[in-house]
Amino acid sequence: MIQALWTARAGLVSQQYNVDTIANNIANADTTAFKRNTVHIEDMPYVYKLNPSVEKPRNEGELPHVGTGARVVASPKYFAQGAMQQTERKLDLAIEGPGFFSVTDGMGNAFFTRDGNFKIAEVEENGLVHEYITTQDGYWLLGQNGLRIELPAGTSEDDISVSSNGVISAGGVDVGNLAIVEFTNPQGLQALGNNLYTQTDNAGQAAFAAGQSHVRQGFLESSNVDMADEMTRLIQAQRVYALNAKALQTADEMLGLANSIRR
Amino acid sequence: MLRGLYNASTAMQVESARLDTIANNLANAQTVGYKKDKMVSQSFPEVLTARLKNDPNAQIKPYNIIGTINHGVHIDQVKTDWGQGPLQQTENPTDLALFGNGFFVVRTGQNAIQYTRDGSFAVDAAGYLVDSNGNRVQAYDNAGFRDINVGGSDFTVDLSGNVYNVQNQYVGTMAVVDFYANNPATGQLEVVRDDALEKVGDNLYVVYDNQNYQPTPVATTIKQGYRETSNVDLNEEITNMMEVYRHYESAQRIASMIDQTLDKTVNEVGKV
Repeated sequence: MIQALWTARAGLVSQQYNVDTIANNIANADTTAFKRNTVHIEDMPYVYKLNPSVEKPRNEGELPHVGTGARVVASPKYFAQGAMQQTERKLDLAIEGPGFFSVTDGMGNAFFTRDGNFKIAEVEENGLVHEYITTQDGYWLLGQNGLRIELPAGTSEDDISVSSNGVISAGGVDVGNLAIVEFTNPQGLQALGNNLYTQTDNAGQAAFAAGQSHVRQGFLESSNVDMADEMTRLIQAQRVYALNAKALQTADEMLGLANSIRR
Repeated sequence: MLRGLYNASTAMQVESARLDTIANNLANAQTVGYKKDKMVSQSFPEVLTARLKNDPNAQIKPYNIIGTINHGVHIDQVKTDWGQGPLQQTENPTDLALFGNGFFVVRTGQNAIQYTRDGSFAVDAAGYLVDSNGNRVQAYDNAGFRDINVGGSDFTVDLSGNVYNVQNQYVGTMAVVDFYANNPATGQLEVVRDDALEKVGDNLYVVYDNQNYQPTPVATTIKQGYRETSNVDLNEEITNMMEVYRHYESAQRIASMIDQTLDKTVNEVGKV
């Protein structure tokens, strides 16, 4: 009986996590290059009840087993391609394929993003004005040489063109090669917010894209959240949550009944 | 009289254990590849004689005289319903679903093999296909089980389980196994999953008796981009839960009634 209470609680907690994830997906339905999360639920260990007719079990497997609930073990992101949204802005770049743009915070840390909504940042260094390409939050875009991509002074957005293999040119002169990297296991990347990801041991080595990823200038990748799918899963999660609450209530009422045998 | 009190109490114990099973099914209503459990109960008499160590003289006479009586009920087994769960489309290449008999094989330790219906796999940093807990998924060939290196998450699996890596090269055939044994009565091969497999959590099944239960590869359709959802039927579970509750309630009433009868016996019989 007490087990049923905890089992139902485990069900409630995992469905709560499910609803949280779905809510986050829906909230990010319009976030550039957002990748939807899913919840992976697994069953919890089984406990064994006594069966008086199995006097000496050779192993636990012969006894009746009762599960102890469910738990969320992973919340993998699905890196399916989002739809291409045309913006006709020269510094809107979208990646077609599994790659990521590399950006840096200027303090030696590299981050990865699929959000190609870039801008030109003017910085005064040593008395001279330098122009760099950054994200909307100010993270510097990196080239394949590991350095920030610098534009010739006075370059305006309209002068920039980016080829499908990531070569950036300003006014017809090549200024850098975009560092577009691919991972063995993109699901191993850690999402940091601000549309950024950071590398973990699980993601594998970052390798420069070998022809699988293409850059599209004048496009942004939209979120891969499918509203119909999320709503369906939300309804399912809500119903399962309600039923687990019902199981909890039933277990509680049964305990109440046991308590009232002797009035 | 007191016997009746214990009978009612065993019924309450079994019903509360049954609720544990139902609560577990409900908690796992969204667990990938989960197979629902059903608790089977059994009446008590055989057990009570067994408890007297099978001594032929140790019979309780009054019951032999009035006929048979059930001394309550106990849990017999928990049976797993192996029915196919509905397939849900995810369009994620690392999600595989089995459509039909069989289990995926994962290596959980040095030589420990476990089985699962949960095909929500991933690729680890070294490029091997792993399950959600990082156990490597196994391929099967003449040499036995081995890991599958798919190189990245963009691999393909065809319907018969042949795996092609990112470069579209054949890297192995998914191991899908089931458990069969000869039925001595009919001489025919029968599925013995119920006896062979035990749930251990993490969506895994284990075989304790490796001598008698050997995995047999089976040809089962594998669908990439789908996952098999739980086969728990919410209507059925809620109905069972209502039944359990009312059964528990009636057993409680009986216990309560016997208590009141005892009260009268003790306090009112003999009162002048």
